[in-house]
Amino acid sequence: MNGIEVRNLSKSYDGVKALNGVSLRFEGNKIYGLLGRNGAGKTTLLNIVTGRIFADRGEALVDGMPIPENDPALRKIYLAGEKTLFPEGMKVQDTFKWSGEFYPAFDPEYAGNLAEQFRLDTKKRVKSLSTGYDSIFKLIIAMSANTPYILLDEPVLGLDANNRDLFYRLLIEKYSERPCTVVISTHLIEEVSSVIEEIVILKEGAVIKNEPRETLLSKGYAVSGTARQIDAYIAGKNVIGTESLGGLKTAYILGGGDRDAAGEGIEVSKLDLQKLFIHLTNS
Amino acid sequence: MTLKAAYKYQLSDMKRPVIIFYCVIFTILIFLTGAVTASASSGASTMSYLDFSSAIFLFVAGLCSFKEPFLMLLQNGVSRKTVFRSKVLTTLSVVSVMALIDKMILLLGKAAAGVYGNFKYFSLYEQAYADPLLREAAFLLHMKMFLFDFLMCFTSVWLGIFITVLFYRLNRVGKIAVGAGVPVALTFVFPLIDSLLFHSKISSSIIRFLDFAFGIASRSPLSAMISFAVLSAILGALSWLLMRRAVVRQ
Repeated sequence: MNGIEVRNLSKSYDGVKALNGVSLRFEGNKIYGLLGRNGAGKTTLLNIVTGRIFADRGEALVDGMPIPENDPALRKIYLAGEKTLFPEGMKVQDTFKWSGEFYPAFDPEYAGNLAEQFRLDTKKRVKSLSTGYDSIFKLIIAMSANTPYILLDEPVLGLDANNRDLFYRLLIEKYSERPCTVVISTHLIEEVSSVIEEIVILKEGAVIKNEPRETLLSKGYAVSGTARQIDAYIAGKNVIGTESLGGLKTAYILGGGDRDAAGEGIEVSKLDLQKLFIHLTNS
Repeated sequence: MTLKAAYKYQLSDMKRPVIIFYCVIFTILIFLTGAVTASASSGASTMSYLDFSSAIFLFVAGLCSFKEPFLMLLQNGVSRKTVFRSKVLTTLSVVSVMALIDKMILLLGKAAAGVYGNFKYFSLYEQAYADPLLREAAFLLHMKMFLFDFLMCFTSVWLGIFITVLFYRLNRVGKIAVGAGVPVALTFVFPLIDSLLFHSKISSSIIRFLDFAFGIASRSPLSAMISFAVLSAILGALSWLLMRRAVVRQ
């Protein structure tokens, strides 16, 4: 069966549970958002899936093959992690060369093209890259490796707004040309919201939500209007957050309710993913 | 495919240090040969132990050859099993080539010594196991010297790899305990206990064992070769046991 599947995965560090019986599937050719607060277990999950660390319990499979210590399985997945594992003294252009040795479908031309677009100097050594360019360098390799599964852990760490925008555009472009499974673990929920199709939310090492973005967002809605109108409307409703600017107010409401009967002057819109995330992970 | 790429990477990682090492060795040898042949001294000078300097170099290279390639290979979807297998293949290749180069340098050194006459050129093997080799055919002798050099260097590189993998696996306290504890125990605590409580019987036994294992008194290179082979197998197995559970530290 296609996809990455983890079953009953548990991992502890010095008695603290990072993952607690996690079971989920990343299906083929979908873009996932792996969301969770700091320490929720996102990086641990990605590191176990790519064999960088070992789970205490449970199993991880890719396309039905067990992942740990299995070269053909590991070659199907590329993880651009937070930590740079390339030798610090290696030049960026050499990392491209070596990536091609390990990933036969690696496209050096595309990598070079991306480097140009991001203005990454490929003659530089890995250790001399700034935080932003270090992220860019890892993103370029991940996107050029052409593996069926690409895992991106905090991919836009240190990237300026222009480069973040460029990355999201290139990712969508790449995905439409050559579909693959992309898992994006990030804290920048609002930004990634428009890119992802499926959402997995981890809280204290457990999966609390795993569903399509549209389904998740349809579980609530946002209303905007004057403060007086909104206060009257939200009375008795399950409000997960409000925002006020001048006399205007926006409220985020969970549940179907009578959104059609919002009344004149009240604008109804889709629920904000970040608000929903905060609500789900705070409680 | 992965094994080939991992082997190619690890080989390329060791290529530069080996080239630098031989550049230094050649420079020293040319300088010393030039100095000795140009000197007016009538007595014969001796140059030796090049093979031993290769073993020391390989020990240091082994010490530096784990963390960086290990992380690089994990990044590129290589299993620990393949990391280890490629490491074995790499060390076999590098040690073979170095043992061969050492052999050629020895032969060149001997040829130069024959021409100039005022210096002698020896290998560690000749110095340690001189008597039996005088009665052996040249080809067999050189084969034995090559094998001895190969096994000594192979043990040396795996000793370095074992130490570095051990330190990679240890936590901070463990690193300090082993890094400081072992040298202190070997150089201070053990001799003190041995002399005070056992009248140096333990150290005498160890010396006797080492003498037997490396065939020093009996001038038996075969004993040394077997010991090196066993030792490198043990170090390789221990390194694998440590490597198979090594992880990327978060």
